[in-house]
Amino acid sequence: MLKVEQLHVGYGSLEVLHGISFDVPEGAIVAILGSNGAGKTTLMRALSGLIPIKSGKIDFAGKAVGRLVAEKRLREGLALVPEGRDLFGSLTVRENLLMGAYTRRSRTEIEQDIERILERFPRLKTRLQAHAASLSGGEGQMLAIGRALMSHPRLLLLDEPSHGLAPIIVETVFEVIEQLNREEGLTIVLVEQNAHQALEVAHTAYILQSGSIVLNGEATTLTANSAVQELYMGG
Amino acid sequence: MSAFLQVVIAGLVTGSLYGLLTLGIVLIYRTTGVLNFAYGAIASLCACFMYILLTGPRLNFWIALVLTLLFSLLLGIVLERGFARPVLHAPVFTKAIATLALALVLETIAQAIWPQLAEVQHFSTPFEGQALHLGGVYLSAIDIVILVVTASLMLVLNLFLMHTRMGIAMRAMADNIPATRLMGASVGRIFMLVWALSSFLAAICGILLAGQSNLINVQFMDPILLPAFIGAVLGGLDSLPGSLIGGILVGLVSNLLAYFLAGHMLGAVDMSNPAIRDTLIFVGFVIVLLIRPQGLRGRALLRRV
Ligand SMILES: Nc1ncnc2c1ncn2[C@@H]1O[C@H](COP(=O)(O)OP(=O)(O)O)[C@@H](O)[C@H]1O
Ligand SMILES: [Mg+2]
Repeated sequence: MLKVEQLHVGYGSLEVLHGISFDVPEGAIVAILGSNGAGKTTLMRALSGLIPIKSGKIDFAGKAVGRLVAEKRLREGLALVPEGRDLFGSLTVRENLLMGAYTRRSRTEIEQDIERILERFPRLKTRLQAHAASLSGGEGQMLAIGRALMSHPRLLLLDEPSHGLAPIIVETVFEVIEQLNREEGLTIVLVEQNAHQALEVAHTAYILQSGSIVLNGEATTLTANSAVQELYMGG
Repeated sequence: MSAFLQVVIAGLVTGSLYGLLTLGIVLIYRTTGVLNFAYGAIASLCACFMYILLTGPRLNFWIALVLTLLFSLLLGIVLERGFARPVLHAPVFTKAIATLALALVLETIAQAIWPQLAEVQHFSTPFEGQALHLGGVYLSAIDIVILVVTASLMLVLNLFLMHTRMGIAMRAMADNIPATRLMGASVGRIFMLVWALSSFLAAICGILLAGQSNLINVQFMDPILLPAFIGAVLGGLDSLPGSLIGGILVGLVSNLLAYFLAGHMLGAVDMSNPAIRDTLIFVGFVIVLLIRPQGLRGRALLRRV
């Protein structure tokens, strides 16, 4: 579904990603693991079109999307839940969800989708008219995911969804990710520092180090790999 | 009592005009990060355009009005493409300075094509000389028009910003531009709409102000810009309702000061001098800022955290 080849990305003259290649089959959860500063967020921004790529290819559902602007990539079905959520803080929860449906037209379908998202995230139901900035970290992450789902994506990119959340909330977030994949067949690319939990939900994983992929394989194989354990799972 | 009421009404009239200008300034600032010091020049240019339509081809007032409003939308689009887009990624301060240059350019162009407007001219409206007397209070027709027009515009704008897809997107963009792009919204198109909308508001303000004083020249909006900016900053600069309240407040305070200072002398200084009033407003504004740097509402900054 998503095929990335020899991707080079950077800021100005600084190159951050040095020729990244990976594959995301339809229906899979793929984790990209790496420590702080490895280039995970840069990769997510490049995939969603927020920053231009220097060279390489991004094919999505058989179409070259590497040169499309972010707005067009969303319309192709690529949605990003950005690092730090990036909610519209002065908008209400409901307005954030409506923004997620910006590219869609049918009012009735949008209302139905909001209902469905509130069923999935019941905690948002009571906060529907609250400003997004007033949400707790967990609620905020639910809203960020819900907002991305409103566009009916075919592929969901998640940038460190567990970041800054209490352990119990992290648990819930990963459950949601697994459910979305299992129940709705949503293809997911998950970027994480939290390797332990990411490997539990992912099918395959890639290890990103200083802008290069140094290791990849089945999630179970990587979980057993001693180098991965030492580097990313605290031994 | 009725004299006081008279002053309050005058304050509301001025204030609602400031409020409208302030709204346009904050709309642009919040969504595109441009602190637009050319806003007065844009308003002047549009009002001058209308004056030319009224006096050159001698168009009917209402036809000239419609054409001027269309012109203002076009001007907004041209300014967005030609001015705001190229400086988009510049720091806020640089952009603000660039708008000062833009103001100069606009005024110079206006003066070059319409040299008669270098001097003060008479701007006539169908409301000229008409007034209403209500229990000792005198209301000129143009003041009533100003109150009705600004109130309805604010209502419509509020409905637009709160309830339409495009209005919500404008507010979303004011919060977070990259996230707005991630929602599939074309930021360029929204920028253009914001500039078109705010120059439309500027045109209406310019026409109403020229209609109120019946006087116009290429720079007639310049003195209005300072109180409008004061209103914007008082409102917190990033809150739309706050900006409106800030603008109205400055208008009210300015008229009340004029009322209370009239006929008073401080030593040899005649306190009714408008310069004294403006100075007092400015000093008050600085004091307010020292106490509450985030503006009077002051919730806006907290929300950011
Ligand atoms: N906007 C930017 N401008 C310049 N350099 C950046 C920018 N964002 C990130 N970087 C640099 O790119 C590298 C990778 O950052 P990032 O992609 O955020 O890593 P991660 O998400 O894995 O922590 C870091 O060295 C960081 O300093
Ligand atoms: Mg990151």
